[in-house]
Formats: sequence, structure tokens, C-alpha cells
Amino acid sequence: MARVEGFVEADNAEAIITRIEHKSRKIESLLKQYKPVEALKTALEGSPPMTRDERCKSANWIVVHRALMAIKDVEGMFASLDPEYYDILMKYLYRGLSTGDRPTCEQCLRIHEKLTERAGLGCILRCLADTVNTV
Amino acid sequence: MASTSVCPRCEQSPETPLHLLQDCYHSWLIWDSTNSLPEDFFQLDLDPWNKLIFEVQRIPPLTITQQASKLALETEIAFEAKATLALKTPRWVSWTLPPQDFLKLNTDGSHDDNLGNAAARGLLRDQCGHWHHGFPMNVGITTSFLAKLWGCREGLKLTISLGVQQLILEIDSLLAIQLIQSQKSKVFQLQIPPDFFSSQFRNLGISRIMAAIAVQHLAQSITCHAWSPDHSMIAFCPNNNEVHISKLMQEKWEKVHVLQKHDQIVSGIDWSAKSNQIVTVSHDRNSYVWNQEGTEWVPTLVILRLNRAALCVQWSPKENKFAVGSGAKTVCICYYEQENNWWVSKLIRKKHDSSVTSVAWHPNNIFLATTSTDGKCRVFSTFIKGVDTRESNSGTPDSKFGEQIIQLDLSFSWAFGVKWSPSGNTLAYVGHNSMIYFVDDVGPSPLAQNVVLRNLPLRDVLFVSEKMVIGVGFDCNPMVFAAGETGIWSFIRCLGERKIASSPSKQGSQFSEAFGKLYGQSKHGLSNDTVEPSGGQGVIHENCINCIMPLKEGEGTRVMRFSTSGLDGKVAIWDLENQEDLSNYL
Repeated sequence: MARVEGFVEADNAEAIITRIEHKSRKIESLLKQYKPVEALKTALEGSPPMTRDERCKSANWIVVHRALMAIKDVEGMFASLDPEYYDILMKYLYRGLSTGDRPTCEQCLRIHEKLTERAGLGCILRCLADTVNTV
Repeated sequence: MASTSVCPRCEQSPETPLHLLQDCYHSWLIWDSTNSLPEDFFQLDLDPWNKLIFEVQRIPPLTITQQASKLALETEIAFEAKATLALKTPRWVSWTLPPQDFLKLNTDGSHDDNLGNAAARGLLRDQCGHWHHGFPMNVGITTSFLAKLWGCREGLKLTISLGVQQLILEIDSLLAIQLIQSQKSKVFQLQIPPDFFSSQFRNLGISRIMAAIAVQHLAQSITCHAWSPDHSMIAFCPNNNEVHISKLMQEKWEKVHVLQKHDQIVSGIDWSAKSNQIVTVSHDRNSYVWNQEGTEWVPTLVILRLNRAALCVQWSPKENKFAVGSGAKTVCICYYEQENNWWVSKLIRKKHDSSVTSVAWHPNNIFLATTSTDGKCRVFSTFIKGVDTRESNSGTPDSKFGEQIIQLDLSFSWAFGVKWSPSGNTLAYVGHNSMIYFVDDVGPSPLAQNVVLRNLPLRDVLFVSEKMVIGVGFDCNPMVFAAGETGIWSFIRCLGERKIASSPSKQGSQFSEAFGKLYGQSKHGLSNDTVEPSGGQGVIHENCINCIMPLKEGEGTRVMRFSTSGLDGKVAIWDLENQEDLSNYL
């Protein structure tokens, strides 16, 4: 695990937003091609914006949320999602649950159940203890 | 008086004198064993038959009586053997979850009476314990043993047809396992190629015997424990300011000493193997070294110069020093000064940002590894002039006391339970985020690996060999980790039984209960239905395990037996001797 040298400064926020916009376009095109799992992978990859800037965080969450909600077949998703994504996915699921929005919560709980079955309680503990990835 | 006239032995015809002596199957067996019977022997009536036997003298009566008594003796031996069989100590055999990406096949066979109708069944379950496939089969008329083998064969055929790559087969017959492993069995030649076991399954482990060999409930809760040099006595702290020493006497643990000197909870105990000294540390910020004088244990106070609780202690390999970790962000290295008759404590200060949770000595008696709640694992030099000599310090040039050799920043949450491998090449420690870390080549360019756990975090670890580590913790079940030929560490399996999910009386299950509520109780049968009916017996620890100690025999570096203690007040002794699948790593 690489040591993260502090968080990105606030004046880098614009650069982060640009990156997130780029990612958003990529996800949209993947979703149009009916590749929801690829879209989710893209959303999870390099997704933690490494910043405490709320604007960046919510921009990023909107993108991940879009990819999360596009998942229809949860079992099928897990069949092609590698275990290294599990911890960060769990972290986003808790972010989703914290919104209190009904359809989001339903979707997150549905994935949460399957993810816990696969990755165990250890995965939840890692996402609770994680101080590096800000989502 | 018999209630019926039917022969009680064969239950087939009336019990007449003729039947008893001649026609009954059991009598016939005895007569038939003599080879020189006339053809009409069994058709004769009683009188001519008697004449034939006693007057014609074609059959020596002595042979018949000898034959009869031989049969009787055989029966008696058979019954006696049965009686001694029952006296054998029972072994716990229980179902555990297979490791990740494995399926587990359990098969068994049985039959009606002797040579009755036999049947076999099998069950294939996945890593979560969920039902994968199952089958029943009719075997026809055979013995239990053959029925078990038929069950195995059918189960293996099923798994091949399913394309299973990694399988663990569990059967309850040692003979059958040996037969399969020898690959000479005819049963398996029908459909399965001879090299099947090496080629088809990359990993075929046959496990059957539970590793725990003794469990003892010693207190309400145990904070730590240690063994006397000959393992006949155990010192433990029953979660208060005392240390109890118990001795095994006539299969029962009897309390022989109570060491009372500390004012608060004793957090660490270590018993030196060579000098037979016990060192204890406590939340009262003090330490005592106990020496046995006659039948009494005499304490010597060691002033640690701490302003917070002492948390852990360990004797150095040469037993001339001991190290204490504390809540004061400090490590104390204590040594004995002969001229002053006094234990001196030297401090390593200002290196830790938080409490020191665990200390471990390198085999060279100089290096000390520590873990801390700041998430870091550090290695220090503890060279003390007059105690250590430079010769013993070879390969570690000029490291002064308290010098930090390395700091490992692998974990971002609390770190616990650090240990060195027997050679000192590898370091293992655990993080509170359900991770375990392995560091090879500790020095300027360390090689770090981490292994992600499926279950709750660990508290302590133990190297049983260079390539194998046992981890214990909040999951109440010792976990085995091993390094393969490429040096990559991975989780192998749990040693004990999985704890039962829904039993409100048990403390360890509160979490699972909450989970059951989240998803509706019925769905969370995850581990409930995987436990065998006698499963309650198989659960070793019912709460967090916080201490693991080796039970070393002789001078070797291998540890075949070890003990665990935890918040449930139990001490369990585990034996790796019969764990066939783990023997490669030992």
C-alpha cells in the first residue's frame, strides 16, 4: 500500500473536477454500450478524489452514483468484478446509504447484501478504518 | 422359561433337541468345520445320529469341542475389542468452511445390519457454506466401508462433471483416505484415470481431525497466559490484579499459586524457559519479576518509570532482558544489575505516537519489534553495554540503544500482535482493519505483503514455522496463513469450528444477530446450517482470542502445539500433528 502524501490542495480542485468530468463522459459512453460493469469499474478506479473539498467529493459521488444505479443484475456484476474493487465499493455503498434517498438506499442494500456474502465482515471493517480514500 | 418355542439363536425353527444339536445354523457351522462327515449326516434322526457320533467314532469328539470353544473365544475377543474401542478418547470432527474458491464435498455411506442394503449420500458446499449440489445413491448389498467408498466415487464423478477445480473432500474413514491417497483402489479405477488426483484437482486436501486437543475453562475471562518451561503449569490473569498458577493433576487443573502484588489488571505475563522466572506487567504501571524459592514465588519490583499502564511484556531470547510496551508511548528495556541487586529499566522514548500494543524480540537478542495504535510497526536496537556484547551484535554495525532500524507504515489503523519468524527473516503483524502484514528482509529494503481477511480482525499472531503463521482474534477462530513456494503469503483456512450465528446467549454472536435483523432472520442462515448437529461442542472459543503462546518441544524451531486464551475464559491447546493439508508448510 502506497503512503499517501497528504491531501491535494484546494487550488487543485479545478483539475480534479476536469478529471471527474472526463470520467463521467467515459461512463456515459460505456452505459450506452450496455456495459454497466465496465462503467462501474471506471467509476471505482482512481475515484477517491484525495481531497477534502466538498465540491469535488459530491461531483465524484454523482458519477459513481450514476454507475451504481445502472447495475441491474447484481450477481452478474460480481461475476466480473475483481475482489480488489470490493473495499472501495463497500465504502461507496455506505455513502449511498447515508443519502437517505429511497431508490439509492434500496439499490445499495441490494448490492451490500451480496457484497457482504462475498467479501465478509472484514471488508466492512476495512472501509470503516480507511482514512485514505475520501468518498 | 422362554416365551416361544423358537430357537433363540437362529429364530427360524422350533427349538427341539435335534435342532439344537444338529440343524441350527450355528451348530451346523461347528459340524461343518470337520471335513469327514458322512453324506447323510444332516438328514439322520436323533437316535441314529447319536450312534453315529458316539459309537462309529468317525468324528473325534475332541475336535468338535475344541472347535466350539474356539468359536466361543473368538466371540468373546470380538466383544472385548468392541469394549476397548468405545473407551478410546473421542475426537471432535466438525465441518468448517472451505477456503476461498474451494468447494467442499462431504460423503458418507452406511448399511442395514451386516451385509444389508447399503446407501451413500454426498453434499457439495461452497465457501459460504451454501448448498451447491447433492446426491443420494443406492449401493446394493455391501459393507459400510464399501458404501463410503462408493459415495466418494459418486461425489468425485459429480464434481468432475461440474468442472470443479479446487475441492476438499471430507470423509470419516481414515482407511478410505489412505486407500484414496495410495491411488491403488480398484473402486476408483472405473471412470477416473490413475493420475486423477494429481492432475484433475490442483489442490485436494483431505481434512478430518479437529486441531484442538484440549479446552479448559479456567476463569470468567483471561487477559493473558504463559506456560512453565516444562508445560506442566500455566500462569494466567483472570481479568483482575492477580496471577493464578495452575497445574495439571490427574486430568484436572488445580490452582497451586496465586501471585498477588499488582494493584490493577495484569496485562502481560511471560515465563522464561531457561531461568524459570515469571515477569508480570500491569495497568498499575509496575512490573514484578517472580522467582521460585522453595514452594513460594518471591516478587522483585521493577520500577518501569512509566506514567501510563504497561500493556505487554516479553523476555528476550537470552533471558537477560525483557521488554515492556506501554500506554505512555514508551518501550522499557529492563535488565538486571548484579552489583545493585536491582532491575533497571531503560526507556525508548519519543519514537511512538501512541500506545505500544505488542513487543517481539528478534532471535539475535538485540532487535525489538513493536506495534502501536498509531498503526506503525517499528524495529529498534536495544543494545545495552555490559549486558550485550558486540560479538552477538554481528551484522548490525554500531546500532546504539534506542536507535530505530525501520518504521513500517503499512497500516492506517491500530496495529497489534507482532512476531518474528524463527530465523528472524520475516516479521508479521496485524492491523485492526482486518489485514495481516508480512515483511521479509527487514532492513533498508523490506519486502512487504498484506493479506486481506474475510472475517473480523486479528489480535495476535504466532509463527509455527518459517512458512506458516497462526492468527487469532475477534473471529474466535485461529486462522492459518502460509507462504507458498513463491513466498506469497495467503490465507489457508480456519483451524476450528465456525461459531453458530443465532444463539443469543453467546456474546460473540451479537454482531451476527444484528446482521440477521438487517436482512431478515431467515436469510442469514449463512453459518447456521453448516454446523453439524453436535456443532455446539465444536466451538472452541466463544469470544475474542487475545493471546496465543507456543508450546515448544525441545530445541527445534517448529511449533507443533500452541495454546490460545481469550475473553471467554478458556484456554485451548491446539495440535497441528494430524492436519495433513498443513504439513507441507511445517
